[in-house]
Amino acid sequence: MDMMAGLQVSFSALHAQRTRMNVIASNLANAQSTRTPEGGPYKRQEVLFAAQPQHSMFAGMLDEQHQDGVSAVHVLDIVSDANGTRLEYEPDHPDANAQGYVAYPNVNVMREMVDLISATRAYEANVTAINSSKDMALRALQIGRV
Amino acid sequence: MMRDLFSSTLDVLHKTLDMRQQRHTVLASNIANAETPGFIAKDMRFEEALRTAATPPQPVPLRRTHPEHLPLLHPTSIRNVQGTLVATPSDDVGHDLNTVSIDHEMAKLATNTMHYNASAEILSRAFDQLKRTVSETQ
Repeated sequence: MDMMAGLQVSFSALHAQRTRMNVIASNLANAQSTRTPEGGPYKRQEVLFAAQPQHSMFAGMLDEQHQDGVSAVHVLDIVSDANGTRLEYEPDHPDANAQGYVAYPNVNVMREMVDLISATRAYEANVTAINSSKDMALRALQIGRV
Repeated sequence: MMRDLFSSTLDVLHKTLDMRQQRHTVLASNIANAETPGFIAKDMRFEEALRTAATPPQPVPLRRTHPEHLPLLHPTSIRNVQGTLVATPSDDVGHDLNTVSIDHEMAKLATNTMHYNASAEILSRAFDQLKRTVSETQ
């Protein structure tokens, strides 16, 4: 049985959660950005996770049926949330439109903070899983050592 | 007597470690996908199969009476025990249809690791015992 399969699955999750944290950080940093290279205010970004069935190095030969239940996670895409920009009446703002309204990004700071905590906890859970994998591997190495 | 020296205890422990390792991978996969939409949490069951295989054979054992017969692989020999994957039932499925309950999975992971370590410890001691038996007579 592939001892590294569990580690690889957990590593994929660490990577995915870190990407998610970066995206959340970007959202928070740009909560007030009214200009972007594409024009218009910044748009909130969101990551899409997808499960990716994991096969061991010798999949198909020996133990594919055991590997079937094992899926790594990967970031499928980072999508922009095009939903409603926030309009605020600030006639003095350089980016105000003819009616005096400024379009602010659709970033809800509260929601981003909640997502951030959720990502942190998910990251920690996977670190715990990695530590367990490591403990088990080390324990197996000690079998027979007197 | 050699059969007794390497008794079925070692086989059972060996298989247990193997199965625990596989279950660990399945649980790690659940934790990794705790936020993947539509992911179904899975678990691996093997205890029942292993127990059945580890209980003494039937009073009338099968025997090979012809060399052309298929090798006598008892379907429930300890080495052939395989785990079965089952979907973990969940009562709080969110809007993303993900059935992973992270606290359950973490608890299972911890328990599984402890069982693994316990089995490894027993295996260590079994080997220790063997070594002692072999070397004490010198």
